[in-house]
Amino acid sequence: MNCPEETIWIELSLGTHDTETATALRDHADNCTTCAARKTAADHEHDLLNTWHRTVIAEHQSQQPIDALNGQSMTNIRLADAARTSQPWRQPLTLLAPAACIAIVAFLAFGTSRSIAFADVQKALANAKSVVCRFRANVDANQSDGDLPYSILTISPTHGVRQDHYVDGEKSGTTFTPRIGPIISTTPTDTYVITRQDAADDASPSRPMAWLNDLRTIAANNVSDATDDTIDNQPALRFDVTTLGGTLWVAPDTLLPIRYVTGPKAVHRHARSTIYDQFDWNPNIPDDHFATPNLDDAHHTIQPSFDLDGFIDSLRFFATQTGGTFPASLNCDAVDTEMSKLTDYFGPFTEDGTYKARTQQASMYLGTTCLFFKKLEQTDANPEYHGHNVNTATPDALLMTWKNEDGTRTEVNADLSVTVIDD
Amino acid sequence: MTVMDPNAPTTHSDPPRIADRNVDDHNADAISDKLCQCEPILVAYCRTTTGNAADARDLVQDVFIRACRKLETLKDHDAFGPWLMGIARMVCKEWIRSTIRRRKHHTAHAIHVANQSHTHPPADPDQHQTHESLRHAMQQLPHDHQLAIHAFYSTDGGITRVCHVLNMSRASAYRLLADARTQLRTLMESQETSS
Repeated sequence: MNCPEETIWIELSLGTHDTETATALRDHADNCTTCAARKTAADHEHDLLNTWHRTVIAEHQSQQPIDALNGQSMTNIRLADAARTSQPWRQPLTLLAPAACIAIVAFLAFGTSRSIAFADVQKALANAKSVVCRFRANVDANQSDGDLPYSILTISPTHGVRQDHYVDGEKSGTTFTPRIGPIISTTPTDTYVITRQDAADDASPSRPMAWLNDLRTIAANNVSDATDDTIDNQPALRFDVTTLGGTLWVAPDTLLPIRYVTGPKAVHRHARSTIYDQFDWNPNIPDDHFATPNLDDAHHTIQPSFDLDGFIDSLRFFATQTGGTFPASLNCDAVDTEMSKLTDYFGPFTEDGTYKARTQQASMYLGTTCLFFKKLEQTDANPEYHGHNVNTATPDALLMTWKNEDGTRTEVNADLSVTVIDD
Repeated sequence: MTVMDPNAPTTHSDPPRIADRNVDDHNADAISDKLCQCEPILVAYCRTTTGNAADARDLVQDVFIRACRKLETLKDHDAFGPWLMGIARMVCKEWIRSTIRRRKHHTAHAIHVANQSHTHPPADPDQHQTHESLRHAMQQLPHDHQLAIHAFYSTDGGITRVCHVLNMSRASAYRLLADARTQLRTLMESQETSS
């Protein structure tokens, strides 16, 4: 056998050839140092590709929250759910069936609250698709229901969360938090606020469905046994979810939550107590319920992200509107003074909301700069700001610098380039 | 838009009946199975683009959500693989564009620091270096070549999975795969030469 082309060894490692040809090739390589080297190289690449893929997949799987009950990746559950719920013709009864079946079987089989494990509740939660409930944050136990602002949450696994806010019984706005893309808040004056959060922040504690994800994924052995209780004169099973600082009541028949109360600072850092109640599980939600308003440039406001990107964007906005200058001071007390430099941007007052949207926009950008600066001042970052004597005409001039936690130093130049240097 | 009264039962209209649509629950299950089967390939594809697990995970999730939203636009279910990978390609391109945009006001070092915060230090630095070289080389392969490699190596399906993902015959899949491996070798050799 003559030496085959080099690519044949790649094909051999892929298993392209039949057994007879493969054996002949291996026999040849055993007696030919050149081909043996080529075969070894091809096999090595093959192994390398195998190892890389195995490593990457293993890392990916290790990052997934796992359903404690069946070991299935929660992502996979969500994906399958998404594939189903993306088809809104699926009947609600069918959607409810798995959760209801689990609950009914558990109820009939054991009959007493002590036999119900929190894992059963989690299974019912994992099977539940969507929910509508009332949400009240920062609640004082002494306040009566009528005095409290509240939001109605509509949670959909495919669309995200819609919050309808009410104050004194009057609707005060709506916030859309999609799974992907910016949060959009509408106000009664139709001034839209967009924040730059995306799917990467989906698990953030500040996201409106984080509490539900927490209940779905918390280790079941960290939750107390069920005790019999009543809610609104109806029987309920109570679980103390100590790790989350909350108490959960579920319906004995469906095992789905009917009331969830978290203690001070358990979910929202500044909250006294947070109450979720008036649950409606797996309701029919029309597609247009999550349709966001068309954003008109004149009526929308961008809320910069509260990080370095947002800070730089805010400074860029100011420089663009003022012919290349920067705020003279980033002290929060100086915001009004800096706002007065943006009158060309506001334009004259108008009744149609444009003026309000623009003043709000300027305020958000300036607010971002001063809060970012204030946050640095409150740490050991020792920020130095030179906006009073630097402008974009001197792009290399140092505009701001501060010390990072890892000992490096960040420098922002007048061209708004950012450099991290070893101090 | 419907506004719900929290004190009253929800009053959403009934959903359209099954007869109004062409896809039934059986198809929904089949599609969700296909999505899950493709996950390892997407993970590898997105990881090749991003270089870190956290961003790759987000991109995979983005691909799935977009796919679920666009399912109704998929006319030919045999073309599911190429269709899904087309979405992945678009999502990855968008990620690259946004990363480049961020670099306009971040130095490479700052991006590097940001990326490092996503990942743990490698347990085996030598293997990490080799894997990074491999990833950079795969990144430069044409889209179909990359997919052939990922479909073949990231699942147990072997060449059959390559056929499904790229909607091609077995012979064509082997040819493409061998070509991809040859190009990959050339790219890795040129990396070694330049370093």
